[in-house]
Amino acid sequence: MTPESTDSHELLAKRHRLTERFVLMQSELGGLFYEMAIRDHLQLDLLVERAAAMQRVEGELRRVERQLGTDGSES
Amino acid sequence: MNTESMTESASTPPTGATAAPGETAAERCGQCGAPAAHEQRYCLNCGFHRRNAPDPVARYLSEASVARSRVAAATELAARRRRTPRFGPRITVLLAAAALLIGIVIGSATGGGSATPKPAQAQQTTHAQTTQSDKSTQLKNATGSSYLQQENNLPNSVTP
Repeated sequence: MTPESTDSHELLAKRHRLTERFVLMQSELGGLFYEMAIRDHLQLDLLVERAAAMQRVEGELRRVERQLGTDGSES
Repeated sequence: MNTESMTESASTPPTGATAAPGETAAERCGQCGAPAAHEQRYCLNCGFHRRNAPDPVARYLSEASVARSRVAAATELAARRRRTPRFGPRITVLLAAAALLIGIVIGSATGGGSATPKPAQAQQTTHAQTTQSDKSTQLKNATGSSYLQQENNLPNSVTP
């Protein structure tokens, strides 16, 4: 196995982990907002904090996809 | 954002950070200790996800994960079956040996003499000579004596 293929393999695994984490965080953010909304207890700072963490993960995901030379449209 | 309409559509009445009196408010957040209803999936104070609360999303994701792992296992099993040859190595060797034996038997039955043509020809020549001498012997026996003996027995006047 060549070093290039090893790097590509690691990048693909990292992209998979980041995508999984991003999906989970998005689900958590939506669930938290729903829970606050139905109980009429919106805490915007908490939601913005979660959204900022999610944005950091998305930035890392974009960086990995640029290294892989893909736009993230392929599965 | 119209949260009132969402609140009306939801089954749980708005209670804020604390649980409603009718709800089971004895539970608390595992992270910050704020009171929480039994059905409350997230703490409204710190945003902690309460795992023991009934969560359809978590149930769906876990079921999808199990189904995905089952599909992956079935796909791997099918691929392994495709990779495995239908006949094992032992059966393949036996089939090859049987084919070789059949070839040897057929070859010896049909063209076994053609491998040594010259001895065969010599044998045929010897056989022909033997047959000829047998014929002369038979002729001699039939007449009682050979031609030379008969000539010797002729009278001298007849001899040229």
